[in-house]
Amino acid sequence: MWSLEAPVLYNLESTILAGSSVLDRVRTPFGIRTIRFDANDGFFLNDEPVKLKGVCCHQDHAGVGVALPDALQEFRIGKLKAMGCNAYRCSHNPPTPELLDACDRLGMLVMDETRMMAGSAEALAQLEALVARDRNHPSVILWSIGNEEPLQGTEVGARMAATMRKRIRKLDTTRPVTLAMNGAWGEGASRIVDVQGCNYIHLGDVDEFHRRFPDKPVFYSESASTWSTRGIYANDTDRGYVSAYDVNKPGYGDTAESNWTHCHQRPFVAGTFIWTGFDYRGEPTPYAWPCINSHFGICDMCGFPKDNFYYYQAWWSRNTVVHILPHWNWAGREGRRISVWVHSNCEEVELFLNGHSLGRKRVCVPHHLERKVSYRPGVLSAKGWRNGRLAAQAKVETTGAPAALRLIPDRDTLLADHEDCTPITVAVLDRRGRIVPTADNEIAFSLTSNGVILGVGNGDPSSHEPDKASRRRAFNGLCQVIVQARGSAGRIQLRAQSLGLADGTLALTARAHPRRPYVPGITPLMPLKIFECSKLRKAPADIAIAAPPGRKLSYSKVKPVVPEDFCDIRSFHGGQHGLVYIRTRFVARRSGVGKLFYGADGPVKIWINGQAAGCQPNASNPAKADEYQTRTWWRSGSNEIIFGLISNRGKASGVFARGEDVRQDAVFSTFP
Amino acid sequence: MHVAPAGVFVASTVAAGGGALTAAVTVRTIVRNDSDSDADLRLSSVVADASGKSVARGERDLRVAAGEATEVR
Repeated sequence: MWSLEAPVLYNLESTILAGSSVLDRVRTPFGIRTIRFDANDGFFLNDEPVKLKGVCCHQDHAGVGVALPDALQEFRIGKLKAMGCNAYRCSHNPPTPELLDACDRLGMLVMDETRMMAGSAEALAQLEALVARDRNHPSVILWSIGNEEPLQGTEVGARMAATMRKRIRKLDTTRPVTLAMNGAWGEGASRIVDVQGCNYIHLGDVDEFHRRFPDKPVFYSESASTWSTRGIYANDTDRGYVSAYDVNKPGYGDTAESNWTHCHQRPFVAGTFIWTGFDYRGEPTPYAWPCINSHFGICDMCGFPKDNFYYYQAWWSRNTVVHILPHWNWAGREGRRISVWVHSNCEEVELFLNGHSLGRKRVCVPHHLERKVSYRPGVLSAKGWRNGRLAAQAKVETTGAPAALRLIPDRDTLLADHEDCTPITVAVLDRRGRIVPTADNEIAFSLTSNGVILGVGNGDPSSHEPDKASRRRAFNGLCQVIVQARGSAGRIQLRAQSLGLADGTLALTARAHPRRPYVPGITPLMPLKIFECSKLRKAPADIAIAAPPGRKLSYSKVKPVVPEDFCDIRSFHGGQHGLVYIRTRFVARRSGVGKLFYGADGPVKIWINGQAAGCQPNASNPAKADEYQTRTWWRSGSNEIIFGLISNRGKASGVFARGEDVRQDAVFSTFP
Repeated sequence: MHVAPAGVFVASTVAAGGGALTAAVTVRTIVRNDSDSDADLRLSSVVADASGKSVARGERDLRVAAGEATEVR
């Protein structure tokens, strides 16, 4: 059976045969499991009750944006599982199928959502494509027909929902249909959906809904929207940061703790999907530009946990958790009272400062512990007790200044298939190897040629540094570099350097692995292959003063030299000194800025569409392709290119010419 | 002759009996004939576990008219 702990998968192989010959074969992975929503008892997987401990996510990650390699999907789902999360909502659009593959393999439930709630042909076609594509994934437990639609509570909304539900039913009768509604619970589309999705505790009254509709299962399809910035312990409107204590939220939202307390106390609520698992680009509320990414994530853009990660881990996972916040680097605040929080699922927690007990407190489910501690540098530690026995402990320490870099890969072996990659945590350490929680050193990366730096990030919601780069500042002690393997097996060596710090080095192993079948990219440089040449004429004293050819000049075809695409004009000068005009064309489907790359082995001047476009009096011998370039504006359609070439006392052999095909759709025409 | 894109749907039910669980797998497959002539075909469906060992199979002979698609249940 497919379960969250042991997600067993099978493969169905469908083969079409005519006699004994195989005409087509398709492999469909699937899992065997049962699902059920109950109006009083919530969700059941394989007849076992499972509270949905979910997150909403956009597919967006540091360094790569929405172009997530499959390995990063796996990394992110794994990170959520480590938090105790068991459900993922694809908000608010269909996921890439590789995300669902990762959820199938790792054991993560999915609420799969279409982009558009509507009864239009386009919306229904999108919905059907989604359901037909995703219906074999055991991870998918819910079809969502939309999110926070203005029509959700109206009669029109109800009719749309009915049409959409009917279309889903044709393709899949095994999963319930839901709609994420920010209010109007019980109205309009509510009456149609199988399971009521509620967005935000305060946008309705779920207890009242349950009383009015005792047979309708209900869950929070979106909730909390708590704000926090990793490693920050005071709101900072100048820099666009929000404190990571679990206290900041919009008016419609909740802290992690108040939200989970509400859900935890209601067995009829099947679960909740926190907004959001990871930070994402855009929506930087409570701030605006120049703050550029959201603060809603339980993890930042890199997947580095914020403190609330440990709140959820304490109450969602089976791990024994003791986590202290804030960090303990508060130079200049000696003697000042600092608010210390502990997220723990132990029965009791005892706090110590430099070995002296500050007292033991009972933990109330599912709440954090909090007390003020007068700051003295050193070690702040906590011991968690269960049944009178030490169950777990944690500490934060006052560190020294940044001294060294350390590289910690998520995985140290990659497949050399041009795809596999791993995020690498870059930590700024003090002399004793402790992460400096306030460090912001700029770090440069260099890599051996069998790997590629896919991108970098640091989780700073206000950083305007480029993500496609080989350098990044640390943010509160950490940044991330994502390294991808190329095609050759061996060691990939990464080095991290920062002024005044000891280098960090790392060797990854790339294992030989075949590349997935692919269509090679089109080269953006298009060789020009069809040339014409004039008869030899009198050469000017200097190529710079050569005049463009007259309109009536006649040309003859040049026999092409393949495969070099070299225009050989030796037969046109016959070893004599003089000037020839060489004509060719670049045909573009659309206009745009581009370049002409060329090489020649005699003094050369160029005209593009009648305009002088370059002159190289010292063109070398022999001619080299792409030796020179000139920027130009390609017209839509045919562009005439003329080279004036001095035969260099009969030694010049010709020209190379390649057009930069900016949009990769140029075509070539023969001459009229 | 093709299995239509996204044309396979596998659903399973689980029943308890005699202290053991039994799963029944039902498969719907859309078979397309994009050629100009009718075709007599066989659809073979084989379920394999993660190690590649086949654990269930089914076969169905069918005739698909030229340019048509047939759903096999």
